[in-house]
Amino acid sequence: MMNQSLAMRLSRRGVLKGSVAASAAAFVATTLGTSFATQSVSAAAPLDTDLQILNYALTLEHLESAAYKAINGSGILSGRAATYFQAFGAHETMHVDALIATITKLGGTPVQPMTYNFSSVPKDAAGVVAFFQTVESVGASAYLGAAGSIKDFDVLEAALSIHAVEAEHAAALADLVSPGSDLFAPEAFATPRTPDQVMQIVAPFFAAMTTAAAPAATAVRPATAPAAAPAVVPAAAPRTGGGGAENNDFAGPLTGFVSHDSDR
Amino acid sequence: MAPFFKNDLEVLNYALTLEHLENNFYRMANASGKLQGNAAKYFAVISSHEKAHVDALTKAIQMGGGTPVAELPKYNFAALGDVTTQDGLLKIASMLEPTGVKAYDGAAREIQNKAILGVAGQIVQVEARHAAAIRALINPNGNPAPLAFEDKATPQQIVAAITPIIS
Repeated sequence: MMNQSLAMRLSRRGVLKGSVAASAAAFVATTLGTSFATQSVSAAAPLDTDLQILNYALTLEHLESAAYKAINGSGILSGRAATYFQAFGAHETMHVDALIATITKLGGTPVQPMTYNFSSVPKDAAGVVAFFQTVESVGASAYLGAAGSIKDFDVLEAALSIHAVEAEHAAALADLVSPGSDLFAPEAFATPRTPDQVMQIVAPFFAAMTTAAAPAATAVRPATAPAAAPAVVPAAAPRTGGGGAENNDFAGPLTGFVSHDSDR
Repeated sequence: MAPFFKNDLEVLNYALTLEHLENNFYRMANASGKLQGNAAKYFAVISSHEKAHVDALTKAIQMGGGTPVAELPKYNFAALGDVTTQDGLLKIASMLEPTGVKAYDGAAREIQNKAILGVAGQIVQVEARHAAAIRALINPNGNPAPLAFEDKATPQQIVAAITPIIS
């Protein structure tokens, strides 16, 4: 009864005209400034198909999953941080598996994990947690920025179901990094990022190591970053010699923390 | 399944109905004097967000030629928990925030305009962040992100869930 009454209220007050929502949309697009509709269309290399978007998401999830595995195998973290990282790392692996299944089901070819350069990851526990807090926020902003380009509603819902979890990760880590501050939710309206913006941020992870364990890799990173950052999906293709195996080489003190697919 | 909403204005008013509820709750909780420490700090942050969501949705509906739903004079939050203690208020918040997430994610497929979908996404991410922060306050050693894939809910399910509060 109350259900009907609320439904009626929603219907009646909604003013049931077909196209008037256009000006509402104009309002939100202009007032909220960072409206992702605007950003989506301005992307230099828009992701045209749902399969491209899914592979873009998979590219990021591969990276996150590998990063968590490397840290979780490192023994750097303890206490709440270790608990959170174990749980969140497991989520990222499940996201990878789900995206692979979806891409395959839709007839696409899932991108493979790559060799990642984690030399930019801090080496201390506090630094690691703060770093991953940022990574999770970037991940959430990536899903937010891509959602508007998704055509299939089931794919959209799948992306949103992951989007919320990345946001939860970011907020939970914020409670470790800066408890009591507004870092867990610094804005009333979360800011989306375009694929270009996201790929520029994560480019250092895809940069080749100059030599196997050279600390100098960090210094030359910008020069060796893939120039193809705007070309999201092609850049995510497996590299020659990558062989599909995760080989997560940290530089410096973390060089020994290497995880492989066989860990799964 | 047949669409629940006839147009985006209805979706916006659906969202506004929930944001009014949340906004009212945090305003009440912040004024209760029962919150201390990080709970008080987080509730203040969250409250400012819910207010901003209410204001933005209200203006968007007006701009679109619709009539924004009004905040109810009274909500029965006691139906969800003890409104006289911090623990109770945290528990209620931990129920409201995921409900908001599920509501937005469940309504997304009915949103026709991409700009409105975008703003719904910008809001739902913030609700998810709220949910995790509240869980971290309630059980710091638990998992503030208990699901690998967040649930969605249909408008019918959401309406059923909030009926005890708006009765």
